Amino acid sequence: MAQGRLIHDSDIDPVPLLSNSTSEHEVRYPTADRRVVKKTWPGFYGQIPVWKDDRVEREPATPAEYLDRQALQNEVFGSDLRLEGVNVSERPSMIIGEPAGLPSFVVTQRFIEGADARFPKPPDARIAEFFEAHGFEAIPRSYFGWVRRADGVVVLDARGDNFVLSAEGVIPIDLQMALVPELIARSAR
Amino acid sequence: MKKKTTRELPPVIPASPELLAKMQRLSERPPVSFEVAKAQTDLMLKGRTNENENRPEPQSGHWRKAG
Repeated sequence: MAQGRLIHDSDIDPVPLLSNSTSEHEVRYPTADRRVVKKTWPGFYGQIPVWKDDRVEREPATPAEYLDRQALQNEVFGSDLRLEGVNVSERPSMIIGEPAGLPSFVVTQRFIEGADARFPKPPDARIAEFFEAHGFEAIPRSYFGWVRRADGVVVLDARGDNFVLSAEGVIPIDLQMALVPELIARSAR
Repeated sequence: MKKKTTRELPPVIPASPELLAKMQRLSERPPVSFEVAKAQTDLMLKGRTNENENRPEPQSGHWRKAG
């Protein structure tokens, strides 16, 4: 992939398509250096947790918040998400009502292979173990949410299809993350 | 009013050495073929729902807003 610059359709199109049915990204694999390419849908930068009406909700992220989300996943879970650049496609938007020409972020990460090809998704109990081992607790009335009170890191959308049960255990691959200061434990402030 | 961003917040607890070691070991594994990656991706997305679903209340009942 290009590095830190405008990425043209001609750079992305040769990478075989893995999926265009996820809600936040078009996914391709492999690049020349064997990485997964994730391109946000034009004009849409995923979702993040926010504190709203005394509960954790999801809201569309700004471009900066999307990048913060990627950085948080790298920092908290040791992921290797890499911002490759920005793509501005002239094709029609996949989102109804959005004009063409809106920018997308292009990020890459390594492909995490499941330990058992038949069951790449970890069961809920393994995901819960993973979070609890990293200091998180479940958030009731949230969208598959977890919070770490020590620093206010909140994860939403923590469903099985956003993790891989690898030979090294549960590995997160795509999480909706943000810092929610309202949830930092008083003793940690 | 300026919207507050995460960049203005305190630093987070970084990934544990154990987790970083796992990620390093995974990076040393041979890359998988497109066919394997495609099969795994299709399997993971199969039956995926996009509607909101609520987690049940934790058994411990310790949920509360901090502070």
